[in-house]
Amino acid sequence: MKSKYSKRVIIAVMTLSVINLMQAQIVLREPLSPRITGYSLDVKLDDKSGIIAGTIDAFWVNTSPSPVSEARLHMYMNAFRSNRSTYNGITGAPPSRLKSDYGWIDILDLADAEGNDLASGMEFISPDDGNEYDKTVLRVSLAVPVDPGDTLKLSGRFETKLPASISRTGFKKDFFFVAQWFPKFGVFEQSRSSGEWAWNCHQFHRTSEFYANHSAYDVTITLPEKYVVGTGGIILSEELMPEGLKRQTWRAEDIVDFAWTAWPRYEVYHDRWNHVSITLLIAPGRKQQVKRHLGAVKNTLEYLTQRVGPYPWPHVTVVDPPAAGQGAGGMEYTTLFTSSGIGFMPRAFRIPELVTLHELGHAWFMGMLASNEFEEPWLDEGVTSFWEQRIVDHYYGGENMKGLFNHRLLKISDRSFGRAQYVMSAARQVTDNTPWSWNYPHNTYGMMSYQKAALWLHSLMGIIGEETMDEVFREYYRRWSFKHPRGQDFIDVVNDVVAQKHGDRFGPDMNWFFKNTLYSTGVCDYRVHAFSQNRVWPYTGVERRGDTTFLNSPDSSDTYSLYRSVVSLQRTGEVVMPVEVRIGMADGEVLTMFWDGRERYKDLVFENPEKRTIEWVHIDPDFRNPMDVNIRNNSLTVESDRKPLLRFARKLSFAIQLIFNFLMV
Amino acid sequence: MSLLSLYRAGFRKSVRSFRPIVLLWIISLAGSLLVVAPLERNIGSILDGTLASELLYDGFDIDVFADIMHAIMPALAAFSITFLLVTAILFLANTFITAGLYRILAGNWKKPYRRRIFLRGADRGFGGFLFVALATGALIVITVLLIVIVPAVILTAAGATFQVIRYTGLATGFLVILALPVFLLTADYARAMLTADKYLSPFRAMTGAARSIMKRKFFRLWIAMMLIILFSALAGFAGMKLVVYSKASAGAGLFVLLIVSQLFVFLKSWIRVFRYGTVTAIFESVKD
Repeated sequence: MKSKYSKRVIIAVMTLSVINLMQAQIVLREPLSPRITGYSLDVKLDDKSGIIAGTIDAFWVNTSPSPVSEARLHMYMNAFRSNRSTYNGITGAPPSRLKSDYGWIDILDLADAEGNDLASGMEFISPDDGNEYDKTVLRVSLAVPVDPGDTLKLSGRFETKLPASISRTGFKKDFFFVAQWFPKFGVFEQSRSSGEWAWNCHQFHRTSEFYANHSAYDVTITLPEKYVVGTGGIILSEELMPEGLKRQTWRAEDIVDFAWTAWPRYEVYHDRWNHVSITLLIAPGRKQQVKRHLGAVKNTLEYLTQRVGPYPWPHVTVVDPPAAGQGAGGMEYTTLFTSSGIGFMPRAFRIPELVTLHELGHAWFMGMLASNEFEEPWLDEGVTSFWEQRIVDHYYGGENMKGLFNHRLLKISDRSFGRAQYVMSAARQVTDNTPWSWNYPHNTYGMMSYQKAALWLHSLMGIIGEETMDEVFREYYRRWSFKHPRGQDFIDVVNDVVAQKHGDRFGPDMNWFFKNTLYSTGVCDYRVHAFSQNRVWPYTGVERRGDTTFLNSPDSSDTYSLYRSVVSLQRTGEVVMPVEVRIGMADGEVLTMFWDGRERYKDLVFENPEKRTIEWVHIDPDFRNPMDVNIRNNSLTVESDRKPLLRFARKLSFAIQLIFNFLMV
Repeated sequence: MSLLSLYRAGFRKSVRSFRPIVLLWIISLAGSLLVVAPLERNIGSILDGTLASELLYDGFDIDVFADIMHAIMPALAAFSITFLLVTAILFLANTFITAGLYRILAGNWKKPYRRRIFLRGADRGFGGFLFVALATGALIVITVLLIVIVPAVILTAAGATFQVIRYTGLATGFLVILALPVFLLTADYARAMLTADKYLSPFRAMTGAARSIMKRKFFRLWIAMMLIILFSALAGFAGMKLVVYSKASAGAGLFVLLIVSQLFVFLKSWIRVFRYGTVTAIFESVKD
């Protein structure tokens, strides 16, 4: 009994000291988040088997007003445990025949601060789909409920086996990418609708990302000496161990996951942007891409700092994985992220930059503004895509703002590329932007949560203006960084900032906009139906006086006549947007008018004392509303210009003749 | 014969073949128009009456094409089918004309051009020339597969770095370029042999041609062919630079674009006939 008591005291003291260390400030001057959770991990990597085993000390603070009797932990590596996990789908198709391709995570023992064994109270649950084979969420019944304001401290041992087939995380030969790899608390939060407090801890789905509290991490990794290691933290110490091993201690603060990578052949490059030290880990033979990645990082830091808010961490690590590790490419872990993993890309094609700056953009939209990626994927992917498109076109697009592919022969803007994916999708109307990430039907997750959301954000910017849009995001950052904003919080910010900047110019609020975009399956399409001009003659008519009919001649004073021009516009889509209409007259004058776009059709009528001919009519001539799915019918002209098409035909014809010539040996 | 006198002989022979060269150019232009015109008309009719075509002044505009993609899909499908059909027809027509051409190129360059001789040569030599063209094409494709593609696939499967694959590709590509004059020399020489001997089988002509060029001053012949290939490639490259990068946007500019592009096509056709003439001159010098 005595020895058990002593053991509990020792555990309690150790846990408290760990918590103190976790609450300490090493990376940042002061905590950026409430640090409701924290982790101290001491693990060893067996690079032959892909097993990471070690200890975990973690804490969670009950911020709710009621006692909590259970904890929920993410056990995401179990997504690779069987072919019937929710991640691997309901079809049960075998992911592999090799044992090494599977992955798992096991908690070997678990105790609270008092030394109570919690392992016996552990149970896998499937809150999303009831899948009995899924073991990615663990419920831990607590021996003692956690009172409001109290801290739950957990200590234990765990073992993680990485899958040999890399899907975001895993290993291949001696390349390791390790993410979502330790037991991690869900988020205990208050429901916005019911007001109840509950664990938000979803299963791991193939089309979903993550949701967690900002935490501090102290991570000690022991692994063979030959490995070059990169993590989302800063290194505190490194010591060489017997048997060719080394032991590194890392510290990370206020990020939502601690990911790391190890590979002996990484080439390491360093750069700096203001206070941020940039580390690039890149596969050999890609020297020509080093400048491109580092440039993209600096451009993103500059652009988003100016327009959204500062990047607070003093470090960031970019990983350009080798071809064998491409499955880990294009993922974000805030202070560490992976880029494209593509060996070669012509300079005109900015895919490496796009991936790099998109993933770094997530440091803001999910990293700092930690929205729920499971439930509102548009709030991280859509918003990040919107900024990615702006940054790519701004820095790499030149005068035309066409930055994704910028070559003399072909120019494509990132915004247009995203728009094309939405416009050309046959499934663009099957759902709106509100489903949870794994519930998007007919493979629309990517198109809807990335492209459609980015597109309507561009349209919003087209309405309220670029400066107001930037101010919206600055305010969103001020209010919600290092918290968990929901979509409605973003809408509230939009309403407040737009009212402050523009009054009621766009209505009492901007809810109508979100009703038409975020919450709508409709498409936006405005069309110029026709235009015409007719002379309005002076009055004539017949008059009956008794049995006699008199023809009235035009009044001598009524010598004038008017010319009436009518421009017929139509809204053929369901989505309502205010649009600008520009009308070009034959004499060179250009009239600009605005239509609130609400009616299904609109006739713009204007009268002139002289005959004036309309040459063309153009709805949204500056293309501020890329949501419009058909820009071809946005204009009508008396005589269209066929010269660009003729030029295209001449060139194509010449190219074909050269091919003919080449084929005739 | 020296390299220069070979070229001089080839040039004189090609000048005499002006009319078949014009014919080659005309079928090339007609073929390309058959492929391009329907697509251009289709896109033109879709964009007719709108300002959207103005967005194409900067070249391909993804916003415009994304919007019209569904509408032009049938035209694009027709484009690829027409392209394949026209290429096949042009291949046959080109073989027919080449057979006639060789008949004109053979012998004294001062002889006047006779349409009857051209047609008779074309008629008589078509089968043999078709075999030579197909066999040469197949040989080139097989060589590219074996020397360039297979090593690249093996390296990729073995997990080689992109740099290794790239440099290997460059090296093997260079080897193919070095081998190309041999294939063309053999083909052209075999054609000259077929023209000179109407009873010779095309297969024997090709093997005989290969033997012959290997035996007699191979390096000089290889240089002669390589220079012609380089000249032709240079003409193609210059044409691409001038025409494809053109930003002509007025009626006159478009007309100039048409003329310049067709001049380059004509030049390329002439270089090919010059190549035939030069090899015929080599064959005749050996025969004499």
